[in-house]
Amino acid sequence: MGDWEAFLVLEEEPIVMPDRIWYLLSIKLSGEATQAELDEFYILHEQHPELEEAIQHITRYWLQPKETPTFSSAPDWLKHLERLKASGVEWDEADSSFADSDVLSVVSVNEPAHRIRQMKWWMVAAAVFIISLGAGWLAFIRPSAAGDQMILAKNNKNEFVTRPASRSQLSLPDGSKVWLNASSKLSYESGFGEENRNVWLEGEGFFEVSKNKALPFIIHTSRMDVKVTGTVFNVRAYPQEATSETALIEGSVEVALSGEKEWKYHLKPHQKLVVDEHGLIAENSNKPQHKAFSPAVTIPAFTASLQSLSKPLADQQVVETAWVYNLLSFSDESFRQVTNKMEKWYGVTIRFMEADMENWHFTGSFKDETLAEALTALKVSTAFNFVIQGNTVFISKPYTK
Amino acid sequence: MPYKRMLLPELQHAIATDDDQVAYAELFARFNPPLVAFVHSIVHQKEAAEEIVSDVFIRIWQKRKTLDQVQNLKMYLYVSARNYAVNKLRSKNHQLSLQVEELSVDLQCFSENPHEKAVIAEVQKELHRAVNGLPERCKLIFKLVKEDGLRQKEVAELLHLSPKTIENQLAIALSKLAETIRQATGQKKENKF
Repeated sequence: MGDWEAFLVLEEEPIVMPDRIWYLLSIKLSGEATQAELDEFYILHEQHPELEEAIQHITRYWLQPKETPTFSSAPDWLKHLERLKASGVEWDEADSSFADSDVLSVVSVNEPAHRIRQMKWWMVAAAVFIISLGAGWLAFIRPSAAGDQMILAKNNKNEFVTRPASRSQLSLPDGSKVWLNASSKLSYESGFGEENRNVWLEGEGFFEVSKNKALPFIIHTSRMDVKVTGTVFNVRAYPQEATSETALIEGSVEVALSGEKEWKYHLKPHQKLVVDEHGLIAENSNKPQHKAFSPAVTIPAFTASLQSLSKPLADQQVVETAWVYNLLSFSDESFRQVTNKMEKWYGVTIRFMEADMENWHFTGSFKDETLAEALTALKVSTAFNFVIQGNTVFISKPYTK
Repeated sequence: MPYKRMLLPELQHAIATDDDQVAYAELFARFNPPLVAFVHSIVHQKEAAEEIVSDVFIRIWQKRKTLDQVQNLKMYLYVSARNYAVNKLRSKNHQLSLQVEELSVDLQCFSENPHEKAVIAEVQKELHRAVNGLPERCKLIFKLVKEDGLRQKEVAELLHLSPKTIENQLAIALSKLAETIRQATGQKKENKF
């Protein structure tokens, strides 16, 4: 072999021919391996137990979420938009899908004032309410048309609807009080308070039910019915969410799952019952007191579990009912659960760019923060980027510079 | 409204047929960061990298009517970004082709958040250091496959390298990481005895 050949070889790839197992691991992790290559990897893996530790570490390293605290993508987008418009290309600034903003922008700081105004209105409303109760009938009338809550009376049915990002307090003809969370609907028929005390709930409500042993107060939701005689509790039953729950603060309630009236769950204070719509039965923590679930009997089948209420954030405050005190809070909840709450709280849609971010966990509590402030605060514990465009928030992982 | 993550072909179609500006913004949010990082490895300059990627996206919006004809939008974005970057270099330095040896890749996988830093195992930190210590080309290939999720065939096409080279470079990267782990854990054991 002449010198020039040796030289050429040196210029080529490094002559290290690494073990095939590392190549196989890389295509396994990148999802490109064929079944034959996977089989080959498992055989090599078994033959080399000494590599076990390295394989595990590399796998963990490869699969961990990628994130860096680099600049947020919002300024990038705005910068890009400027260049795009400068290039003369057609761009509809009045695009209705970007809501009312003519320029895509981060939500401005005037949002909290808006919320505070809403709150003040409620206080007035609550006062109006108590007075009208004297008439023995509910009269909850909005001072203006573009309000946070609408009352509709049709077919002898009274219906209350709250808009996204607004919460309302109502009193019912029997003296019970209900705080209705955002995007929720509460209705009852005529005869309420005299013949029965049936209400229908879609969404979330915090109930203070006045005592009346003769007429049980029954809340009907799509997945469960809650029967009470006099007590304080929270029902969360948004149709689009995977689970519904009843959390008891004081007194006692009975819960019956829809479609199976005889199974009654008696909740004790500071317990909650969580129900989801999947067919499999999974019971967590405490067993129901009366009767164990058996699968495949109910249609639709539900999963239910009894849990303790989340740890109080402060005295007398439980995460489940914090919204009543105008507090948005969550305790070790997944990013998806957190954004579900934020969507209703701020009246926005939140989208994740990378699906696995939904499983990150957060604990926190917000009161007067704007959407941008709340997201910025969340970013401190786990870095992510967000862009607010009209009513949509895009959340992405920070990127590698 | 229940949240639904749009898939790339859905985004592409919405931009092409509905002039969907929100879909366009989402496409930008999803691909701007990795593309800027990729272009940065070629041009070595943050502002230039941002402008190049911005130009790529302007072109996407200009040509949106024909966007549905693109078979692999992700790859299209990377190849466009590479071409724009090479053109930029060529006009500046009269260089004729992309010199992968001159790449500089800065891989930063971990958050600087002190709390998270503390949680990350020592070995994982060692690994991160080891990846940053890989030769630039090896590091870029590793990053495009691991971080950006490109297929090996696509990386080969993007960097004008043979598939065999990609294969070797990935194997080299992982075997170096394995060596780092062996040393790190070996040291730990030595310290114990």
